[in-house]
Amino acid sequence: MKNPFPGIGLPLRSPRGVGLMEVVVATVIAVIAVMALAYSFSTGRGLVDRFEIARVALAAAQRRMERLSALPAAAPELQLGTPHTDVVQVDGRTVARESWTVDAFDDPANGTQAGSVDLKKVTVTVSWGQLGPNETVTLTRLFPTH
Amino acid sequence: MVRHTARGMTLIEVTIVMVLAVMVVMGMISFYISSQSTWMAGSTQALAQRDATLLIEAISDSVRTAFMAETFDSPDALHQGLILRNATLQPYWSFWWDGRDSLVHQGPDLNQDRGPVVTSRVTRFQLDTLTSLVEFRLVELRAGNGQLVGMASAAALYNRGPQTP
Repeated sequence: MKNPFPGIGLPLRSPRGVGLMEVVVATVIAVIAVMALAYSFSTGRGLVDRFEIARVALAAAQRRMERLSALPAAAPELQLGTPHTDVVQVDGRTVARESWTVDAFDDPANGTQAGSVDLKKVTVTVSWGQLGPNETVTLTRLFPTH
Repeated sequence: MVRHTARGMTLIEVTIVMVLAVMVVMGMISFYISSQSTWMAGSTQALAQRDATLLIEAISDSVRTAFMAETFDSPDALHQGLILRNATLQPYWSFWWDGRDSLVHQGPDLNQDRGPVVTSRVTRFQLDTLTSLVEFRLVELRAGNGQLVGMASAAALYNRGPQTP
């Protein structure tokens, strides 16, 4: 009786076996798949490490902002125009650099003359690594002038 | 052309095939275990980092509403606690390190424990209080893979009022 489904029910391997070229191609594909998997794991681990320092930098920027907010308006750290720098330390280790600037800010809604210093705009920047765009955290907050 | 002859395989051929198969399987198992270990290490470290941020944010939110804050050793200088007071100087909320589970707990006071703030173990919880500022000198959490995640920050007491010196 003729098989109505040719190819089904027959042995998978042909009697001639597997050729060398097939083995080589299969091996290369398997190696590429394993390498891709290993690369994705190392990339994921690198991202976790990068976000760790990013979180530390964000906490440091918030710390500086909170410290500045606790100072009187006339404190030297809040003087207009002068850039300030410091290092970020966690448990005695320097992990990043921080800098902050204080600029005059004119509140457009308070009715005073344009260009008047109504508030102080404080910008805190924390940088780490090679100072690339992905290795900087910047926070800005408005402070009262008195 | 048929590769296998009617005489079958010799013991040497079977042995060589077995050795090669064992080497391949061992390599695959080794790769799997190594990948799983890397995955677990990354995941637990990310969780510890998230918990460190969450812990600092939770305490900061409470500090900002407080009139006064004071620290105490709980039970030593490496692990401390924080008592927050309102404008009548009554204590209303506390955070403290509990040595029984190495977690930072919170509640109205030490006798009314509302449970841990985060579930990651805290190895160091060091705080300082200034007139209108609480400094998180070091908040260090241990990830599931044993790695330590340290963070430092600060929170101002915005509810301190105009009588702040």
